[in-house]
Amino acid sequence: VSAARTLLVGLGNPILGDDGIGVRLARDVAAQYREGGLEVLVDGPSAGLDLVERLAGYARVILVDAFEAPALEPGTLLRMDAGALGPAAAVSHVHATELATALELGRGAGLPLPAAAEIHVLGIATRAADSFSERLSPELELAYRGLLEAVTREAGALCRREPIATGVESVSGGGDVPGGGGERWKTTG
Amino acid sequence: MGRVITIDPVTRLEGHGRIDIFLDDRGGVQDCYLQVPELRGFERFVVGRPIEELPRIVTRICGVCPASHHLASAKAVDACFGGAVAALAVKLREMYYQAHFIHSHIAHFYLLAAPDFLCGPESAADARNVLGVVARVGAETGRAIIRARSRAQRIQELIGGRATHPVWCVPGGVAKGLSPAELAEIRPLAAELYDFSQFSLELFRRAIRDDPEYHALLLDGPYSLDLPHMGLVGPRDTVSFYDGDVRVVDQAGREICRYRPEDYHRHVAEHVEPWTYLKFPYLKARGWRGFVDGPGTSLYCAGPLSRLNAAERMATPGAQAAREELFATLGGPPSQALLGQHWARLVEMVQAAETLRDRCADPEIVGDAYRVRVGDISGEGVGIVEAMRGTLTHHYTCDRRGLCTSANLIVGTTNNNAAIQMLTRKVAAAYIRPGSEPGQGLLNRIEMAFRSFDPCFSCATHSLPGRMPMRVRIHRGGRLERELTRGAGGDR
Repeated sequence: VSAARTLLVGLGNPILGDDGIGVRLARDVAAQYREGGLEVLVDGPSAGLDLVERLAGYARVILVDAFEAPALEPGTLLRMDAGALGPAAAVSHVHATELATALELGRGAGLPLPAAAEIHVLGIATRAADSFSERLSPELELAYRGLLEAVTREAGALCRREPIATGVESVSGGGDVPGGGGERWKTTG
Repeated sequence: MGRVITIDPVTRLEGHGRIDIFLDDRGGVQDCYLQVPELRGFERFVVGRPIEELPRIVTRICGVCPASHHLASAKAVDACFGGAVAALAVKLREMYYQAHFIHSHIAHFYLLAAPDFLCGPESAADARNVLGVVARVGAETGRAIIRARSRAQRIQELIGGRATHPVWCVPGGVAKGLSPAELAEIRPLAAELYDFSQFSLELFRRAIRDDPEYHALLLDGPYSLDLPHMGLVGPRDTVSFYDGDVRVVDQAGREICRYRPEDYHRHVAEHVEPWTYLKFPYLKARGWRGFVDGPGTSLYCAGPLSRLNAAERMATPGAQAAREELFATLGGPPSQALLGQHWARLVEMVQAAETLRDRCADPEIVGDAYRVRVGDISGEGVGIVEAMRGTLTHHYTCDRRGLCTSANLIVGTTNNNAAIQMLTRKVAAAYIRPGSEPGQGLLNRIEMAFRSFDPCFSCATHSLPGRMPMRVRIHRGGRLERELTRGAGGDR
């Protein structure tokens, strides 16, 4: 396994409205990315150890997922690395285990997993997704082209190992974004 | 007005739940509700779609038991096309499902249940997880857990093409058979899983059954209800995961009813409450009698312990020995010791591993006759399997063109909705006493009540950055009196 490989994973439920945006973005990145060095898992396991096992052998991982963030404008892109997630944090379903815990368990078991700082999460702020639908909300549909460009750009930068900023970036043209603070964000899938 | 305690969200539970505990003026538990968000619109989503697409769609309902939905749906669709299924496909589906059961039971036992016992219900929340379990039982066990899960996953891939979101079942059979090379790869993996199931049972004996405190909790704690039990039974009334009759036994182990999937609506009805989207199934012949247990109840339980209770025996010898050992300790069958569901899960893991091993020795498991031509469209079908957390029913109707006209699902956890409510209330009342402040350990003991059911409420939601996976609010007279949070920084 090459140590230089970067994996992008689309997370979410493609029939749960905005929750499926990570899967759709991953599929479209896979179709249009031309620079090489990036592998894409379009619709893999969504959580815990099942997910972590698929990350073994990669130098860098990019997880793309919807985040329920009522305080943010839908379509806001959130960038963070897994080191910032904390032991109780997300990108998992609770039935399995939290990502950080699963990563630690996997490392303890000898899986060659990327360092926490090399696991990057690109979150897309959404409203709650509680109804089955294959369509995105109008707000996310409007923001989709910009998001695809942003995610492709981030993926390219990570593949080239360029330094990236962490934080909140609005790609929905929403102006000031209330970032940080104490609001709770939830993954929706 | 009394106080309100809110636990929000419930940790280590599939889905984002919240418990509201209403205290009276003296501080005793007056009432208790578990509320969970429910995904909606699935029935509407599938209407108008070709019925044969449903087994591929339903795997998206739940990230935890996709194979259960896939198989129940496939069986319902088989029935919509006249019911013919290749005999080899039935064997392969059953074989696949054993691996899925093992995979899921490992996750529940080691990641969700074991922390309560091996780390202790009073331990700090951020240490009460699978890493705490590994710290207690050793790094080698941690490696064994990971290895066993990946073995079970690999077997599903080899048989069904993929483990996540399977697309394998088709009307009348399956889309691929098992090659001799694939079978050769599965054989040692199955043997390894059998060893792991026995290892897990031994761990349970040593660390939980033989520990005086946990032994007492299993047998004498508040974690019991007096309810009938439901489970799928195969030939000679053995525990079955994939096929058979649904059997319900009363608190004395006597059969109350037994039905084929297509007759489910004659035996089970669903009650609606105004405070939740969840439905509460009950035994139709008895009529809805409310949230009560005891001899007159119309409620029932489903899941691992219920399957052991509802059957007369296990389907394989090692599992049968393990079942006898379980009932020798818990009493029964039937047993009402609901924390014993964790133990029952391990007994089932032995059966699943033995069944896998037996299928590997079946000379007919490798072959090409894994699909038959389907018959005319009958217009209606019901498929039932045992999901890990209870009996799972899919009921579809379709028009003459094979387009879905209706879908009704009773998912595994739904069977237990009433029991979960009642047990949560009972445990809350046992541990929250007038004059005492509920601490984190007490709240975890309440969570242990519904965690025993391995409940799975819709898709999960999670907090990020994850500072507050649990929130407890205590109100008095409409005013926030005290707030407990549990998160990455530990309890405070």
